[in-house]
Amino acid sequence: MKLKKGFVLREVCGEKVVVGEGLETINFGKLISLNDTAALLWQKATELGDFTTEQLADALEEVYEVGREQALSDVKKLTSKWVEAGLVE
Amino acid sequence: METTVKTMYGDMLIHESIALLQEGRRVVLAVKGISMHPFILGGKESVELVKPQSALKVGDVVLAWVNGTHYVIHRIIGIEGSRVRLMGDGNSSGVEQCGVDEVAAVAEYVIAPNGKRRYLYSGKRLRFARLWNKLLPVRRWILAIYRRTVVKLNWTV
Repeated sequence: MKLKKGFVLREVCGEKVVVGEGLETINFGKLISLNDTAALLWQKATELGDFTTEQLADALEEVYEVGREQALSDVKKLTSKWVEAGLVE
Repeated sequence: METTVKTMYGDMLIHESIALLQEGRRVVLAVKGISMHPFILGGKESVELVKPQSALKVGDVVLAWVNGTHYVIHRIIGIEGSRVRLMGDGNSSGVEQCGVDEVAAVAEYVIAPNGKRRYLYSGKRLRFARLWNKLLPVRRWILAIYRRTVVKLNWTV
């Protein structure tokens, strides 16, 4: 999986949101709000470029006390929401 | 882990947008309310804003801090010296005032939920805006009919 180009994580009004950004235009018309954990995984996915659910589960396990199965299940749920929102390809 | 698609409104977002506009970026902001009917469908559509590039004109749709109390995205109906008068196309009364320097941005495009952009100052829309201004004495009734019927079809100018 890969995050689609043109989506940037920003802090807007104290919330972490993914915003559609072109070279000139910033789209606050529709925002995708992430909680802290989802934002952390977004950053990890950005660093990785092409990423797998296993890699994101690794990142989750590094930061939180969570078992492998739980981490994988949470990451799968999260990435399916990202697919639904059109954020990944 | 929450990921929610949402629309945000409010002064804080406007302040962040103004800072980005000052850097020369374009900003798309969601519009709420019915005060720009039939040109903009609040709650469904957004506007693409730019920092004012040239002198403001009557007919420009702008983001402005009005009456010293709040922001609006309304149309300029008069400019006298450094004072600007604004009114929502979807209002039949109620004129707001602000200084030229309180106009933070000009709306150039309306963006529909399907992503389609409409230029606000095409010949057709400018003509309609002028006609709409002349219809002010009867606008109240036209708007009442529009809001009961046509708006449900998402029809805009």
